[in-house]
Amino acid sequence: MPQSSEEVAIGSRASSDLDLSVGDTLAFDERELTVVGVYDADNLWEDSGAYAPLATVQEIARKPGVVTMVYVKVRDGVDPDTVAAGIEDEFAALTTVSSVSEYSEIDQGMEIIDAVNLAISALAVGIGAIGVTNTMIMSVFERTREIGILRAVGWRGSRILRMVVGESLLLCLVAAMFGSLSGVLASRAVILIPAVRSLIEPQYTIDIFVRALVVAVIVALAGAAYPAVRALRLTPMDALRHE
Amino acid sequence: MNDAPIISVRGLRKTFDEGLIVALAGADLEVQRGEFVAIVGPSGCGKSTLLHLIAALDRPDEGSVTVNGHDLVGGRKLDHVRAIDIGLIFQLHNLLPTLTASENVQVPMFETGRGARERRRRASELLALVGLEGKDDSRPTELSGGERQRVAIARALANDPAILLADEPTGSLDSVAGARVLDLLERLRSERGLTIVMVTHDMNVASRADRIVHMLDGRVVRSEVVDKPVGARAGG
Repeated sequence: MPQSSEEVAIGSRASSDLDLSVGDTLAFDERELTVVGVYDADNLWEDSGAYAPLATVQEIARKPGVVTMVYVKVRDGVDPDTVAAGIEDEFAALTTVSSVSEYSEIDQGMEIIDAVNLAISALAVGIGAIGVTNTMIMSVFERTREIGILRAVGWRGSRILRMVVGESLLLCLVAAMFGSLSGVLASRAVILIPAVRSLIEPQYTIDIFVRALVVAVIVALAGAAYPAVRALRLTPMDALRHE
Repeated sequence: MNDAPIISVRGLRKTFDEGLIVALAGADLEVQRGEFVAIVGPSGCGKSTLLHLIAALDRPDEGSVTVNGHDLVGGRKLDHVRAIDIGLIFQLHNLLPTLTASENVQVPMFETGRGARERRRRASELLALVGLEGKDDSRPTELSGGERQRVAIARALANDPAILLADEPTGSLDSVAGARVLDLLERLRSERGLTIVMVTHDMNVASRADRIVHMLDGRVVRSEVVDKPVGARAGG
């Protein structure tokens, strides 16, 4: 750990991103700090940061004498809640967090990000479903006469249904594969930006791709439902009359 | 020998536009097995509508249609009748433009469960039968009008139907191509014992049939046997 005001310990991600190791110099505005250690906390957030003496950090942040967070370790047998209440009584401007569950409540930022993320995903799926439905409606509409010919030569409604749904499935599966590949490439491209790389670490787990596949199948079936039913309701003659 | 007519139409009525247009107003028709019948009449007399109802492409408002023993009005498996009992030829060939001649001929065979190799072999045989040897891989755009119509005839024969229904089969062809199509229909009738019902407005074309049925205002008004030279009449 840093011992003097000119020393700093940096996280492993910061070390690789900034290409710094022990003995190198880390510049902050006009201050130059010597890297005296590289730590690995197994946490992207912490590993992208650095530890320096409090006075040094206050000086760099231009907030002399200001502390934004203090960890208090209580002795065995002492109730953390009692200590927290005592601190709040003594320092009215401070807010204390004494349990993990309370900390989760404070950490609403991540929950909001998750919720927004889910909403954007749902919106994307909705827009995709509308796109597939529109594509299939246009496809069936433009091929109404072709469907009439197929019905006229004896194709059963169920075979027409399979054809329409099959085309929709193929469309969505190809789109899912293309989309997954594009997503992987895009996330790899985005983390080339150092500022983003320190905040995001893409995860390519199998369940994400399986989920994408399942969503694609559901969207395909939903998108094909209306055009398929429309195709089935036409008599061969209605379809053949279609120009 | 079954003496019952292979096609029986009774009191057939069909209207369009919520009854404003009366296409058929009680048409009656019987066609015997192996017979070649031409239906003639002025435009709008209902001859194509009658053919479409016999082909199970549409449902009548009233009346009965029986084709090869199948009731087309009360029956449900009309797809099966279209696939197995009937071969249909349109004025405009109605081939699928993205498919080859062979693939077009194979389309109806999907309903009979034939394997891919068997379908290809049969399509090739049928294309040869209609005089299109070696044209298996040609697309409709690469064929002449007469050739396209002959592919359509091969397609109509795909599942070896008992009945061939033709709606103005020479209507979009020049006289030479048209005569060739008619020669082919006569040959198929004589070699395969097919029953053929053909709609036409051309009396010269109609005269190739055994019998001419005249329609007017949605009804069959007259039927006449064509007087052909001895030996010219084939089959039935």
